[in-house]
Amino acid sequence: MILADSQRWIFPTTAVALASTAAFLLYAWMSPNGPSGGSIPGLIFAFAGTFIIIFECLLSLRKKYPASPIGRVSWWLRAHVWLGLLSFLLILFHTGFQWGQGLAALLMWLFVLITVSGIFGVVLQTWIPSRMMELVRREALFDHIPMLVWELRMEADERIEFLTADLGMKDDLMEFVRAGGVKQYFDPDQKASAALKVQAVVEKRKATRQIDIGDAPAAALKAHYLEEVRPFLFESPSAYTRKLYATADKVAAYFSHLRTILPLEAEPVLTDVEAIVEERRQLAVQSFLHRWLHAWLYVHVPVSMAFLVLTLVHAVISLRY
Amino acid sequence: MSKEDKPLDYERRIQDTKSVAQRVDLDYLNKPNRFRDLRRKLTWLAPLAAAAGIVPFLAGIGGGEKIFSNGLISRSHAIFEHKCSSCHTGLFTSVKDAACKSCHDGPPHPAKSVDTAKLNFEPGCAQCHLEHQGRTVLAEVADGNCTGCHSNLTASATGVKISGASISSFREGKHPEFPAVKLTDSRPLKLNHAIHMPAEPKTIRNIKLPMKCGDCHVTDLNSPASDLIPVTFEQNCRECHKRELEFDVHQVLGAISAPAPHTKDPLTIHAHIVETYQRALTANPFLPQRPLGRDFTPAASPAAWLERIVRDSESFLFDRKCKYCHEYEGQKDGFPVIAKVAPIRGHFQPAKPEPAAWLLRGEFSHRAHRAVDCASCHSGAKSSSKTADVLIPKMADCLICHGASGTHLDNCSQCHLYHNKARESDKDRRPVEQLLGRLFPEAH
Repeated sequence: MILADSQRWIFPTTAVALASTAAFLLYAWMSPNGPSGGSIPGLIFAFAGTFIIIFECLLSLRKKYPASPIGRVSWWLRAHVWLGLLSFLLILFHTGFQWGQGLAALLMWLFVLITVSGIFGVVLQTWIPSRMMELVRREALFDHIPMLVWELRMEADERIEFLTADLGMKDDLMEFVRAGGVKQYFDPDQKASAALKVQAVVEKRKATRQIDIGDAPAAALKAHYLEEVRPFLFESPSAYTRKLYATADKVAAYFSHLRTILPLEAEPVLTDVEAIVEERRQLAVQSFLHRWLHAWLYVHVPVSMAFLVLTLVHAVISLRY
Repeated sequence: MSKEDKPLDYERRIQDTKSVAQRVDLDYLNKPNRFRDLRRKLTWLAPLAAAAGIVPFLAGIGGGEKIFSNGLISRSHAIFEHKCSSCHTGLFTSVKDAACKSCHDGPPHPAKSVDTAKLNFEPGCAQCHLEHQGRTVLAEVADGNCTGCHSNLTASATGVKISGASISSFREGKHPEFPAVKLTDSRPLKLNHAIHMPAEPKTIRNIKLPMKCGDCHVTDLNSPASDLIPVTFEQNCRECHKRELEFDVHQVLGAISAPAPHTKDPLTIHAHIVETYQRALTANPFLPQRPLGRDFTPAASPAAWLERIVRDSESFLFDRKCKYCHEYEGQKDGFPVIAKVAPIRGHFQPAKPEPAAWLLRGEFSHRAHRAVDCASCHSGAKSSSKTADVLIPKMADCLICHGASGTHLDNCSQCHLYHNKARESDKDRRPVEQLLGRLFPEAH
């Protein structure tokens, strides 16, 4: 976590902040016209703040080369957080707590946006991981989620077909067998004999119900599955199904209902599909939390880069005049 | 049941480590991730957009360089708003005094000739006059610019005459009392505010009292500060005090009686009196037969009568009437010499024709205070019965509004100047085309 083990940054940063505050107060008190950005002390604060801002922006570069020997990324991250806060204070001292106008005002607004988004990000990155541990028991790599969802859908189709025979789903490029044995992927490049073997299993499963629960229960299960379960097993499930399976209790309640209307022979399949839906629900929770965990970066990083460019323009133009 | 007819075995879902590991697509990092890609693109696009967006402003298109201005400039310089180089003449340096002095003279400190101290350090124009602070008035500088030196004057200048002057703000104990308060008015004229402004209303010589301040103290509408026009006999006193010029002590003139001229030249008065009686004598040759006062003895001759009545009239005029207001400073050629009054304005200086200002170092505008009742500041005016009373307000009278208001009313520059305006000269005046050309080159 970002804030863990931050003592080595808190104390020096606080000390520098206090010293800067004392220097600013002394300078403001001695300055007949009040503090201003163009005065010598104001420029010193500006240079210090800008130096830190440039250092802050180097974090992206450091992350791009994780194996570089210039300090651990965690060290850089903590420095980024604490020095970032210090730089905001220094820039406030530079401006003399004036907002300015034109480019100066724009820079202040951008700096506020960057700082607030950064603080928001630190809070999220402190809180969300622990929350995710509580809510998501089977956390996956975020990039895997679309593939996992596809796999869950395929697996659920296959298991339901044990009770209903062919569901008539033709949208997938690959077939695999899960309920009939160890998972095997088969694509056209694989050996034809293995593919043919699996093909036979698939055709048999689709041809007839492998677990006979009767026509009416099978039709009812098929209807429930196609209308309420399967739509949830997509990357972007419908709002209706998201609401239907919003919590673990709701998932359990839904499948409890199915158990009451289906014969006992369907129990193993229902239990497995319930586990699949629950896993999908947890992946949805993980996606939601993951987006919150990183969404602030879409503001923080691009705005920081734009801010850096405009800061350099501001510095050059201000010194020129 | 044949092998083909046997149903497929249903394998239960197992979520062990192996099955989970089998799900991992090891090639996932090489696959596109729209969120990661979007962030990467934004990280490049945002600074590029910022750089591209700032270019027109850097090029000054449409007065675009204004966005680099640190703030609005003062009202008087607003015409330079779009022409930064009018003042910012050098690169990577602050505004130089020469840029200011191309239009303004900026004569040196001290502001008043009464002070002759020399500053140890002459501050630059921009040190006190801060631009880009909004539509301010540049002359209204922050107090710190003044008190930085005036709180310890002897350390900041040489030849300081004022002893113990340590001024840190316009507050009791931090600013000296106005010197005028300790002065007395030695003007040789008997002025009496109390008589003219009695507490109880009364009528004297058909004049209703109390008078109002403005009856005598009239503001000069042509003066920017609405200075008061000096009080004169002709303008302000004659209406009520014309009897003080009457000399016909024996009441022989009747309808042709004319008051003596209001002049400090006794010979002119004498000539007027003689001429008046001669005309009366011409009109009525029997006048010498009439008694003069209680003397019933007829005059020996018209000349003797004339000489007697002129003497009595002048004695009456000079000894009683003129003295009603004026003081004498001896005799000359048999006539009293009336002490010079000088214009009734400021501090009377016997040896100088022009009075000195009551406020030696401060400025005051009656116009700025026109909403305030005179007595609010000149609190002692109604009870003053002596010329010596100086009715200039004390510092305490000003402190009611100034000093602790927390507004610009407390500023040193509200009452004091920095530059010696008496030494200010016009800078080279330029034709308007040249000035406009400097500001707006397209005007040519």
